[in-house]
Amino acid sequence: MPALKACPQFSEQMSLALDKQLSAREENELRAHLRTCDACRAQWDALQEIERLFATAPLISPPACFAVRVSARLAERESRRQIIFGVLALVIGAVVLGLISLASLGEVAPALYLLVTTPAAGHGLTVVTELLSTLESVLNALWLLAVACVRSPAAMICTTYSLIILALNVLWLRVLTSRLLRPVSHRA
Amino acid sequence: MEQEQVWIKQALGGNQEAFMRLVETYQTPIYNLAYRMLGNSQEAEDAAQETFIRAYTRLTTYDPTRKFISWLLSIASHYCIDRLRRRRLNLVSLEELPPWQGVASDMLQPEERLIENQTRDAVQVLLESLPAHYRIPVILHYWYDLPYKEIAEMLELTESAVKSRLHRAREMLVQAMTQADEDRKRMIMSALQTTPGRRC
Repeated sequence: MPALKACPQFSEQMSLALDKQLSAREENELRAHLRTCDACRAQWDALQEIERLFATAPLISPPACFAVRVSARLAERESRRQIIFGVLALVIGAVVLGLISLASLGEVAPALYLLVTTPAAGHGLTVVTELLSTLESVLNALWLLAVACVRSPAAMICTTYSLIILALNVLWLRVLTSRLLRPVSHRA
Repeated sequence: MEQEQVWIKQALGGNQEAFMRLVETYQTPIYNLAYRMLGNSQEAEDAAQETFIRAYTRLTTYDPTRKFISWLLSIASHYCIDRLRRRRLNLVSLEELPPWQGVASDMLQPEERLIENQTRDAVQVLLESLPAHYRIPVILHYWYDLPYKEIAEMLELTESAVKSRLHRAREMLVQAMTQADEDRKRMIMSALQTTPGRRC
């Protein structure tokens, strides 16, 4: 074992020699030096002992059923991710839907308030009338959009807008159904 | 190799069964790297599992021109280095706690510790004398027979940095071996001195 410190310039050469990175000339120089320097020779012997030790060290195998545990952990992680994603999609969708509904139900709100504070048949009728009127407005808007898509000078813009909205709705529904309804094990 | 590419493609499509074939194929090299880095079976299993989970979730970033095992080893290497760094930070903050509440290997049951000690060979003891950044190139070089260039790519280093770390690591290993020899000699000497002499 080396008690003395090896010469710095040859210490690195020794490491390179172990990895067969020295030219023939450099290797001869190192061999010649090792014959004359005790400290470097001791280091070289120790390095070779380490090489032998490491070369015979086996690859350590994982415990039994390792892959099964990875699979379980993966499924758990995926399921958690799906839940988070699903809840996010649901919340965002609900907020957007709520905003749209609130905007269209703006006219119903006063009649609804009146019905709740002073319940009367007449007030109930007003709420129903307002609801029907809102539905009529929505259908009217959809009809106008459909007409604009066909007849207006900006038909292309209207059609593109309608298709984008439709695609977004379909996408959202698909995300919801795939993330929430399909079991994790059937994703394959 | 072709089968491997098929499994990767299927796994990219969300097929977990195909990914499990990849896990079964590469579990030993990945577990070995984690064990050699972390030094105990509990942490090694956790790190190896985490490596495969990360590989699955980042599969879209895998470059098919690289070897899949190199990519996995690279993920495992970075994860184990981070884990050792965190362990060191925890040790610093837990310095005031009693010694039995230290690192994971100290929290094992007696029979688990016995198994742990039996599997802890001389090589492992030497490896653990190296800091994480020197330990990883040594492991990649000796167990996976990788050239400097590939180790450099995996660890995001230059080839000369890998060469220099391997050189420095070997010097440290020689020192650790010398120290172990001296300790052993000292123990034998002290045992001889305390043993009562035989009387005639």
